[in-house]
Amino acid sequence: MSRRIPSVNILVAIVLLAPLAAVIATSLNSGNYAVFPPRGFSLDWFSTALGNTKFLDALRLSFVVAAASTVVSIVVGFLAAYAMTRYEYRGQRLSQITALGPLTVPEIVVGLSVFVFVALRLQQAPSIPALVLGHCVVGIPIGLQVIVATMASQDVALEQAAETLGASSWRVFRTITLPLATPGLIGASLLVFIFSFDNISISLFLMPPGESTLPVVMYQYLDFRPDPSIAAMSTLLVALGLIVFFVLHRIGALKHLTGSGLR
Amino acid sequence: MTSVAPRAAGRVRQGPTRVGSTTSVSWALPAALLAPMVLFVLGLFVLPFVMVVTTAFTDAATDSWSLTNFQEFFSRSVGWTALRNTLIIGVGTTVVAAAVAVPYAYGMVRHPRWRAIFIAVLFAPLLINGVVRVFGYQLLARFVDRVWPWGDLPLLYSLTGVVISLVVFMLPQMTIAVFASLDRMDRRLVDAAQTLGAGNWQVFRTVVLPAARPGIVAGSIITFGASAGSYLAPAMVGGGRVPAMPTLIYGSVSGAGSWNFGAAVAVVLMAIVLPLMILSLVQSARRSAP
Repeated sequence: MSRRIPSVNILVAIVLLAPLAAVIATSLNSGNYAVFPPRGFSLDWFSTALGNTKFLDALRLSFVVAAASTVVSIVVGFLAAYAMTRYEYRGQRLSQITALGPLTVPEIVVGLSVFVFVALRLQQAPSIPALVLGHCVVGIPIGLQVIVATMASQDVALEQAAETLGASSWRVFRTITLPLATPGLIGASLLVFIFSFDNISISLFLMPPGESTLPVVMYQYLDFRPDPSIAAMSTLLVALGLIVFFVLHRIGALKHLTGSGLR
Repeated sequence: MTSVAPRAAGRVRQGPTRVGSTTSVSWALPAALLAPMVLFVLGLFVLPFVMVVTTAFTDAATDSWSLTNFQEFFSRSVGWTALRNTLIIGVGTTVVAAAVAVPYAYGMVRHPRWRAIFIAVLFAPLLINGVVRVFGYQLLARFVDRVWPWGDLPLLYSLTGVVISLVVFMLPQMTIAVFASLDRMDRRLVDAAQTLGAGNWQVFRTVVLPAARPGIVAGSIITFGASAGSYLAPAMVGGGRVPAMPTLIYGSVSGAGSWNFGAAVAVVLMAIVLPLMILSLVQSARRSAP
């Protein structure tokens, strides 16, 4: 076996990271055009981006929706994961398949479906709760997969031992199950949050009239007239993504993401 | 998992049990735990999609059952173009992504010291906004096209460009899936094959590829669904010149045509993706079978 890194790995690494580097570089343009390689050097576009009220409003909405989606998805996912990893019951495989179903459908179909449901059955305009629920349809399976992967790999003997020693069910849950599940819960929360925050395919359908989430605003901005402020905003999002990545790495949640558990 | 009493042959038809014991417990608690998830799936996923199907078969003008939406889709050239494009996008992205992912994953397997970096390279883009990633691709594509001395590269505003951009976006997910199964391969098989005189290509073909196959299949299912269903890539990279089914669907809701038409397109899209969905569910069911 050769000791040299295969060229395919280097090439792929370049191809995957170059777009991000290009965005960061473009935010440093001093002129009005978002070009790569950048002309001039200036950090002014960062303050322009952060002063743009449309961006800020969208950022706030995205944050609120993502936080709400995360809370709902993790709670529902944790309950279901507990049932799937601590009980054996008839129809268990069916329940797992049902839970993962929304992940295999293109998000655009999910967006359209929830939109049609809200508009025709509930006879309502899209609203923030509708948007949150739409995100949860895909967010729950995302969180569920990670939580199940974490909880399934733990030894139930620890919980059984506590029960044998006389602890009540609540005490077992509080002192053993929950602490052990916490890294998985944090990892799942971060993943669902990022999914909801970055989501566009579902958000396009369910945004309340007059309001937009950040990815949608950025998409419209790029369509309309891209100047480096969009690159600056994008750079901030790249930084956000990298921070989340490092947090996930530190708490060891990444190893549960390589397709274990239900898949 | 410990089992106290020996299990009867075949399925044991008893009530739910806690993992690790054989005592039946009441249905109430597991059912209550699963209920919210089931409600979400049934109420916000299955039911709404059924409504989409009904809407697709409804004529917008007369509000009665009809096939006009599908007729409209299949009779207009933009419909056929979108269908063809979506299929090419789905298949093309999946094939190219798999072709790149397998060597990359194998490289990860062979160089464990670099594995953390290789995984980081894969995961980092996934945590970054799709709009940002497409924007980065556009910037790079314009730059590469400008400095490329030998004619034009079809990186933007073309079907090829859309596929290339989607390959870049889907590579992480495909590679992770391939690596997950390749990681379980017994390395000694490679050594054994080499000891028996197999050349590199033969080792790859007879040992590595079969080990990677489950991951390739799983990754392909994800990649096909995600790329065929991608809205951003045809819209942004294609710049309006690459009609695809997702762009038609969204367009129908934002003004260009009726929802019924969009619903019909969504039904056709699901018909394309559904066989793969079922395949993936059957696969994962089979894998966790006793």
